Order: sequence, then C-alpha cells, then structure tokens
Amino acid sequence: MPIKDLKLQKVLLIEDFPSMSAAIKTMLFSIHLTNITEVTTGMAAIHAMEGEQFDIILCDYNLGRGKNGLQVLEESRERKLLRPHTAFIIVTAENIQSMVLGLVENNPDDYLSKPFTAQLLLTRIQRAFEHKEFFKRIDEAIFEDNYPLAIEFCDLYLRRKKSNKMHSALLRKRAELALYMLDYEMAQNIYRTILKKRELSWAMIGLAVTFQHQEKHHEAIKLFLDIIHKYPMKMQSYDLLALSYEAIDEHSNAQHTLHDAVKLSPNILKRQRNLAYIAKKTGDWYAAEAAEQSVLSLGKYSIFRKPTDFSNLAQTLDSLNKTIEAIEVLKTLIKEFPNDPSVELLSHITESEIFYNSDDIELSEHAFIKALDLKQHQNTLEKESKLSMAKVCHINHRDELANDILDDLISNHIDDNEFITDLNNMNRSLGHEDLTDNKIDIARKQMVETNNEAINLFKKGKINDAIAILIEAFKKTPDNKTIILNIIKILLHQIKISKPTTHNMKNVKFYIEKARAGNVAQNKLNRIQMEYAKLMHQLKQGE
Amino acid sequence: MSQSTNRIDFATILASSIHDMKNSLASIRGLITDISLKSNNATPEFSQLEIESNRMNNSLIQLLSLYKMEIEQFNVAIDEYAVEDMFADITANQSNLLKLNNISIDTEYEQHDDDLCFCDFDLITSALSTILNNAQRYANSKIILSTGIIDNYRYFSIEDDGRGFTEDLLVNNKQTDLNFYSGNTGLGLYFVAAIAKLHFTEDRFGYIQTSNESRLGGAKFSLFLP
Repeated sequence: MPIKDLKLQKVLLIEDFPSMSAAIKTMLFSIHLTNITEVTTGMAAIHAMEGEQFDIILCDYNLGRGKNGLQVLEESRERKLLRPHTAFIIVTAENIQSMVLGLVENNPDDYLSKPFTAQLLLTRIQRAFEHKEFFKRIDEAIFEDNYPLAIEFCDLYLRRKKSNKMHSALLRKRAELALYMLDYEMAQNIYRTILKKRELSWAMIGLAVTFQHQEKHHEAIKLFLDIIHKYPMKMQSYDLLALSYEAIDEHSNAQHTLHDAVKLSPNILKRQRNLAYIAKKTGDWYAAEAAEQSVLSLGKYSIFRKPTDFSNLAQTLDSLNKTIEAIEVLKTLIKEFPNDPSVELLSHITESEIFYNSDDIELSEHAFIKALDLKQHQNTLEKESKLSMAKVCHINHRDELANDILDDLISNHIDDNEFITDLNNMNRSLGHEDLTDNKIDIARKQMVETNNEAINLFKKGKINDAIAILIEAFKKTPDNKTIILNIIKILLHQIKISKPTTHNMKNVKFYIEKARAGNVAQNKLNRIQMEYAKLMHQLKQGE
Repeated sequence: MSQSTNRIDFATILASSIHDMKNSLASIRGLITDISLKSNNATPEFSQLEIESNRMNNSLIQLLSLYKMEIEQFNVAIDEYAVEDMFADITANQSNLLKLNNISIDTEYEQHDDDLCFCDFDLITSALSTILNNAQRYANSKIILSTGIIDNYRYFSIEDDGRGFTEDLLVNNKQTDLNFYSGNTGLGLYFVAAIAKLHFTEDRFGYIQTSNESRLGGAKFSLFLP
C-alpha cells in the first residue's frame, strides 16, 4: 500500500500543555510532518477547522477548561468540519474507564495512550490513512447517498480479495449497507456466516439490529441481553436494547438498561438525556433529576446542549418540590444563553408554571407578563415548551392566546399520539377537556380528509394535484409528520415514473430532511431512504 | 455488625489507590518531559527516568487491568487483524528503548497481509510489549520476535540471549494456573496469561509457555491463541 507523502499533510495539533505540545511537535518533525498548526484549546481547534481543512488532527483528551478532546471530535463531526479523508487521533494520558469507553463509543480513527514513540505515532497515522484510502470510494458513495454504488464497490473488493486484512471490515460494511437497503436476508447471511466461524461481538450486534429493523423486538431483546452478558463493555448494545424495550412499551426495562449503561460510561450526553426522558415516563423523578443534572454538566461545552435541558431539569426539580433549586437552574439558563429572547421566553414560561405549582400566584403572574412581552418568539419553541406556554396562558386567563397555541399544536401533531395524550392531560388538569377533545376530533378528521383527497387524486393519476394539496397542508402545519411522509412517498413515486434529476432529487431530499428533523420514527424512514438511494444511483449512472 | 459486612474490600481500596498513583505518576512524567526539554539535552539520566517511570506505569496498568478482569469489567474486543500490523505496533513502541540499550530485534513473520489473527489488538500488542520490555532488560544484544500457527493455535514467541528464566518462572503446561508473583517479571507473565485466557472459543482457551529453549540461548516466551 503506497504511503502518502507526509510532507504535504496538514496537521492540527491540539494540546494545552506547552511542553507536551513542543515534545509532540519534535516527534512530528522527526517523521517529516512539518506543516503543523498548533492550538491550545478546543474552541481554538474548532475555529481552525472552520478556516481550513486538515489531513491529520492530533487532539489531547484533557484540554483544561472548555471543550475536551471528545467534544472537539463530536462537534467537528456534527458540523461536518471533518473531511472523509481526515484522520482524527485522540491522545490520552490516563486510562480511566469512563473516559476510554466514551472515546471508543465516538469512534475516532485511532487513540494513543501517552507516552508513545514517534515510531508508533507514524505507524498509527499510516494505518489510519491506509484504511481511509481503502474505503475511499465506498465512503464517497455513501456520502452522496448513493448506497447501491457503495455496495457495488464492496462486492467488487470482496470478489477480488483486494486486501485480506480489510476483509473483516469490508464484510461488516457490506452487511451495514444491506441493512440500509432493507436487504435483511443478505445482512443476516453475512452476520451468521461470520458467527459460524467465530463469535464476534459486532456480528452479534449486527444480527440483533437486523431483528430490530424487522420489528422482531423479542428476538432482538434476547440477543442483546446475551451480548451484554458476554460483552458488558459494548455500550451501543445498551442503547439499542433500550430502543427495543421502548418499542414494546417496556419503559421500566428500558430505564434499567440505560441506568446500567451510564454507570459504566457516563459521559455520553444523548444517553443521559434519553435516560431522563424514559425515567419521567416511569415516574422516577429522582432518576430523571440525576440524569438531567449530568446532561447539564456534560453539556457545558458541548454542541449537543439545548436550552430545554435546563427547563426540563427545572420542571423535574419542581416535581420533587425543590422550587428554589428549580428557579436557580432557570437563572443559569439565562446566563448560559445571553441575549437570546426565545431562551428568555422559555425561562419565563417555565418560571411561571413552577410558581403556579407552588401556589405563588403573584410571582407566577409576574413571570407570565414577562413571557407575554416575548410571545412573538414562540415559534422557536419546541412543542413541549409551547404546551407549557398554553398552560400558563390559561392559568393567567388569556384563553384566546392559549387556544391559538393549542389549535396550532393539535393540527401540527395530531398524528403524535403520545404528545396528544400529554396535551389532553394538561388540559384535563385545567378542566377544559371537552373543548380539546372536540378540537382533536376535528383536526384528526381534517388530516384524514386532506390525505384521502390526495390519495384519491393520486390513484386517478392526478399526481401534481395530489402533491399541491399536500404541500398546501404542509405550509399550514409544517410539523405534521403524516403530511410530510405522504409528500415524500408521492414525490418518490413521481421521480420513479419519470426520471431522477438533480432538481427533483433535491426537492424530495428537502422533505426527507424535514422528516428527520421532526423525529419521524426510523422504521418509517427506512424504506424512504432506500428508495432515495436507488434513485440517486440511477441519477449518477445517467450523468 | 457481623464480621463479613464490616470487612474492608481490600481489592477495591488497592484499585483506587493504584488509580491515584497512576495520576501522580502521569504528572511526574509530564514534569520529566518538561525538565528534559528545558535543559535542552537528552542525558542518559533522563532516559533512565523515562524507562523507570514507564515500568512503574506498566505495572500499575497491569494491576488495574487484573482487578477489572476480576470484577468482570474488562473490555475485550476481538476481531481479525493483520499480524504485520501487530508487529509494527509492538516494535514501534519499544523503538527508543531498544536503541538505547543497543539491542537488535529480528522479526520472523510472513510479510503479506494474508496472515491474520483473531484477537483483541490493543490487549495482545500491549501484552507482547510487556514481555518484549522485560526481554530487552535481560537480553545481551539480540531478540527474536516470531509468529506462526501450531495445532490450530496462533503463537507469538519472544526469544532472547540473556541468562534465561529462573526456575519459578517456568510454565510449560496449559493446564497450570499461574500463581507466582515474583517481582515485575512474574506480574508481567501473570498479566499476559490472564489476557491469553480472555481469548477463547467454545472448547479452547489461550495460554502462555515459558522455557529456556531460546534459539539464542536465553529465555523463550510463547503466547498461544485459539
């Protein structure tokens, strides 16, 4: 395998200790890596990556105050600052388990424990490049959503036996691609063939994920439990197991699973957030509080932090009658997101709700008035926060505003049973149940009518009319998942019977992204993604 | 209160102290690097400091790993890897030391990427590095690192031209449980044997062998993986 000319490679070195930085730089020079940019903080690293693209990023895990190495990796991935060919290598001084597990879960190209020799660093850099070079065409095809092409390359390399040492990684990739294209038989075949030869944990996990995709949740759960028993450090198994438990409404089991996971690997923000969410469903407010506190501390320098992390914790503390602490958390929220009116609105709504719950009517009103001043920012709020806003409007006798918000929420989320139940519960607690039930019925009928009308037109071959009706509805209720999914399905059909163009593919991608952003369940997206990938392949072949 | 509930969990206390020592050692090592860079010439004393602190660090890591194996919190990630990559890692991390001690190392393996091994890459390379590290302390001038397949087991051997293992460090039966703790070498062997055992199939386990049948006249260590 040819080795890239190292002199041309651009290196970003992120290390807070000047002496260590100097030592690593000497090492880099000794292996002919001379084009080096040095920074001392995570923030500076992100800025550097915004400005230029690097081939090698060497990042220390501990960076003092601010972002740590893991957060730099997460953020650069999330914001797509890393090019597919960039090798991201994390350097660690200690081997604390929680840290190592967190690292492994985020899958950097490699990680090195201090101290290491220049020779080892060179070996690892070359190996990372070798791997990237080998998978280059496959990864590029995936990057363009052209999964069928990625599969073609995989199959070609597997037939040619291009490199034996990549064989295992290649099969693994091939099985993942099969799963993406809903080719469950192929995925299962690969995993089972590997497992016959040797029990490898990734093949077991792959097989369990295949069951999960097929909605065979009981089989998936059985296998995940076996994996966790045999390989307790395979952290992704816990998240996946929890997902299957959730799918069959076993919330308590899901909570226990995630609880076990955060005991081992506590530094993954999204897992803690998910744990808090599920703990609230089971009514375990103490567990929710613990997880939400972790979310806050992990979020301090993280790209994944959200203002609702604070308001959620405040609400949980309120449920535990810790009113003073709850209000403190809201004060921190404002401090952490300065000059952001939608954050201020969120804070005042939550504050008003908390004071109302603790019978402090005057303070509740006071907070509500401040919220009213900012009501033009309500569209930026998440649906749960809008619901809280409707609640405090009702409490403060602004029924008209409350009803407007509720109407909007109902028509946008009529297909989200869980949320509609929450909405109903909130309303019931204020004694308005008939009104809302009625509204829900009307909204449901309206959605069914719109969809039926579109489907009828579609069946009659009037595809453009069908699309027009749905897009009209989408403009009115942009968060309605059923409408978005129907638009996507009809657009995909239309492209299939005409032919894919850059323009119509871009159009349908817009709605697919909407569906993803709106948290449409993955099982509803699977077929769409597959169809889209097939058409993308057709488009690229035509070019 | 009954005797058993009142008893301190010595292993846990040791583990947390080891953790502490490891952190202190990391700071000391940072300082050593710092001072050696400031003084601007790499004297043999600095190299010696580096070697000794490395050894301490390795011992502490081994102890912690053994503790984690005991409480079943040990991450084993077995996959298929190229032997050439494993050898590259093992020799690369010892390169300074070998140069310092004027020891030459010969590697014997099939130099193409068909030669594959099922193992946990990090565990096995660090285990073999530990043994290589010990070997270079006792070797006079030469070490052979070799690999191959015998009876359906992948083996790795490290042979040196030193004075050989002492009687109490000889293991030649895969059924024997290791129960020696004689200093650093003993701990190292115990550690590697424990790692070997974590590699298993339905009916076979990994194991180690030590002898004084080195082709170079010194010690010979072998690791067998199913």
